[in-house]
Amino acid sequence: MDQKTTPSREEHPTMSVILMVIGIAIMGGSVRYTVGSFEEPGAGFLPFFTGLFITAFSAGTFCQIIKRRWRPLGDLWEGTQWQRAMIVTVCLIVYSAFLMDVGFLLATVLLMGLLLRVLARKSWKVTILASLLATLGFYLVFQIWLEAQLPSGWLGF
Amino acid sequence: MEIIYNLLFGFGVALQPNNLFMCFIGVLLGTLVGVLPGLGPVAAMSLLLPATYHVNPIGAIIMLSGIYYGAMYGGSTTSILLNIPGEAASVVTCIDGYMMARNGRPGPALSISAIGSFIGGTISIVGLMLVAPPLAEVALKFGPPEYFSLMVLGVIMLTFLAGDSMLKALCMASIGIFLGTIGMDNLSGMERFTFNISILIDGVGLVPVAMGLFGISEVLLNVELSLKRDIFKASLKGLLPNLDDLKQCFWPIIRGSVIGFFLGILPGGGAVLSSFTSYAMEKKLARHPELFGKGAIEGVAGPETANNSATGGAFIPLLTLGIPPNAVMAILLGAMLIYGMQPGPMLIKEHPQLFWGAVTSMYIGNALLLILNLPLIGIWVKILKIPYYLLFPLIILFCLVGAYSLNNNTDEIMLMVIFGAIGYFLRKFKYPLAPLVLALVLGPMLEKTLRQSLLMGAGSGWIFLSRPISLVTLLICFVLLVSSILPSIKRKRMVIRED
Repeated sequence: MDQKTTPSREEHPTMSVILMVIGIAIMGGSVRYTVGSFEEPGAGFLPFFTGLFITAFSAGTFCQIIKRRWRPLGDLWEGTQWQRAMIVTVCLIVYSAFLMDVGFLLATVLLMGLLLRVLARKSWKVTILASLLATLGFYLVFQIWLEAQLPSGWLGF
Repeated sequence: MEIIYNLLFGFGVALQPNNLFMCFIGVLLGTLVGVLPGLGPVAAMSLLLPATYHVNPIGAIIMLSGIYYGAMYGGSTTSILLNIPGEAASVVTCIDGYMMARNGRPGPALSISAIGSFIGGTISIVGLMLVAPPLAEVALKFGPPEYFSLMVLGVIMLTFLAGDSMLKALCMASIGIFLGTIGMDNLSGMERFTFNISILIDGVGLVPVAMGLFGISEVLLNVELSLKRDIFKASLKGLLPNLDDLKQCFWPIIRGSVIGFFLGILPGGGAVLSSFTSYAMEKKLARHPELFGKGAIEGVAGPETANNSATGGAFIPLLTLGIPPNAVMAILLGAMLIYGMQPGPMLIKEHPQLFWGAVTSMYIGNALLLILNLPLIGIWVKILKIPYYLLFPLIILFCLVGAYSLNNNTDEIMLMVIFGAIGYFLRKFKYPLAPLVLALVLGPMLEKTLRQSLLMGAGSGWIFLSRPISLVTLLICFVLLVSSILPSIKRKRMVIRED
C-alpha cells in the first residue's frame, strides 16, 4: 500500500476479514443443528445460509477494499481520544457485574460520578450534585412511578 | 359512513385522558430527540420501550408513534439553525434551510417546515385511514411465499438505500437474520447458538440490540471526540413566512405530501428517501433552480412535508401486513409483539381500538406539534445549549435502566454493552446498522415463512415464482440487486447515510 499519497476512502479490510471468519463459524455451527434439505429444512437451514451470505458479502467487500488504496488502521482513530470510549465500556461492564450486589442507587451514583468527573472533568460540586439528581430522578420515575423493580443490593436500597 | 363511525370510535379512544397524555409525551419527546443531534427516533424509541411496559399497550403505541413523527418535526430545527441534521430525514433540509438562516430568515424557514410538516402529516393520516383497511382485506389472501418475498423486498430495499456499499449493507442484513434465528427453534424445539446463556433461549432481544447499536455506540463515538458543541447564537425574529413564501410553497407542500406518503409505504423507503426525492423534484420543477442551495424556501417546504408524510405511509405495511418497512417500524413491531398484539391483516379486526386509536391520535399529535414547534421554537433553541457532558450520562442511564427492566436481569445490560461495542466498531468501519435491526426483527418471520413455503412446494423454489405477487416482488428485488452493480446506476444511487 502506498502511504505517501492520501487515500480517497476511509476504509480498511480488517472488519471484512473478521466478518468472513464469523460467517464461516456460523456455517460450521449450523451443521450441528441439522441443516436438512430444501424438501425438509432443519433448524440449521437458515443459519447455514446466512453464514454463507455473510462470508460471501464480506469476501466481496474485502475484494472491493483491497482493489483501492486504504488508510492504515490507526487512522480510523486519528485525532480521537479512544481511551474515553474504552473507559465508558469498562465502566458499563463493571456496573452490570456489580449492580445486583451493590444496588441501583449506590452503583448509579458511582457510575455517574465517575463519568462526570473523569470524562467531563467537572468540579466535585457539579459531579456530586448532577450524579445525585440524575440517579434520584431515574429512581423516582422508574421505581416509584412506573413500579419497575430496580435492584436494592446488600444495603437494601 | 363506516369510516366516519370508525373515526369517531378512534377519537373516543385517543381522547381518553391517559392516551391524550401519552400522545403529548410522545410528540414532546419526539421533538426533543429530533432537535438533539445524534439521538434519532430509533434510539429514542428503543430507550423508552421498556418504560412503556408499565402503561396500557394502546397508550404505549400512541406514545411510540408520537416519538416517530415528532422527531420528523424536531429534526428540521438543528438543520436550519446549526446545519446539523437532528436525524437522517432532515439532512436535505440543511441545504436551503441553513442558507435561509444565514440570510437572516431562520424564522420563515422554521415555520414553513412546521406548517409543511403539519399538512404532510395530516394528509398521510387520511391516506393511512383510507388505504389500510382494504389492503388488510387483500393481505388475508397472502400465503407464506408472498410474505417471504415481501420481507426479502423490505430488506433489499433498505440495503439498497442504507449506505455507499450495498455489499456491506447486505452483510449487515444477513447478520441481522442470523441473530433472529438464535434461540429456540419453533418447529423442532432445538436451542440454537445459545451457549447455555439463559436470556438467549427466547432469542436475542430487540431492545438491548437496538439500544446498544444506536444508543451506546453513539455515546462511545461522541465521547472520544469532544464533549463540547457549538452553541447557537443567532436571534429569531420575524417567525412567520410572508404571503409570497406561502404562495411559493403551496405546490411543493402538496407534492411533498403525495411523494412522502407513497414512498413511505414502500418497504425500505420511508422518510429519508422521500425527503431526498422531494428536494430533487422541487429543484427540477422550480422556476429558479439556480436559487436552490442558496436559501430557496421550496427546498425546505417540500422535503420537510415529505418526511412527515412518509411517517403515515410507513404505518401501512406494518399495520396491514405485519412487515415493518424501516428500522423505526421494526421497533414498533417489536413493541406490539411484546404487548401481545400481532400486527398483520387481522389487527384492524382484532384490535380496532388500537388501530383507530393510534391513527386518530396522529391527528391530535400533529396539531400538538404545530403548537410545540411554532410558538415554542425558542425553548427548543435553548435545549440546543444543553452541554453534551450532561446529556451523555443521561443517555447511558436510560439505556441501563431500560435494558435491566426488560427481564430484571443484568445479563441484558451486558448484552446491550456488547452490542454497543460492536456498533462502535461497525460504524468506525462504515457499516450501516439499520439493515441489521430490520433483519433481526424480520428474521424469525422470514425463517418461518421460508420453511413453510419450501414444505408447501416440496422443496422446490418454483412456489415463489408461480404466485404472481411473490413473482413480481422477487423480480423487483432482482432488478434492485442488478442495478446496484451497474456503474451508471451506482453513481446515481441516492446515498443515504445513517450518520
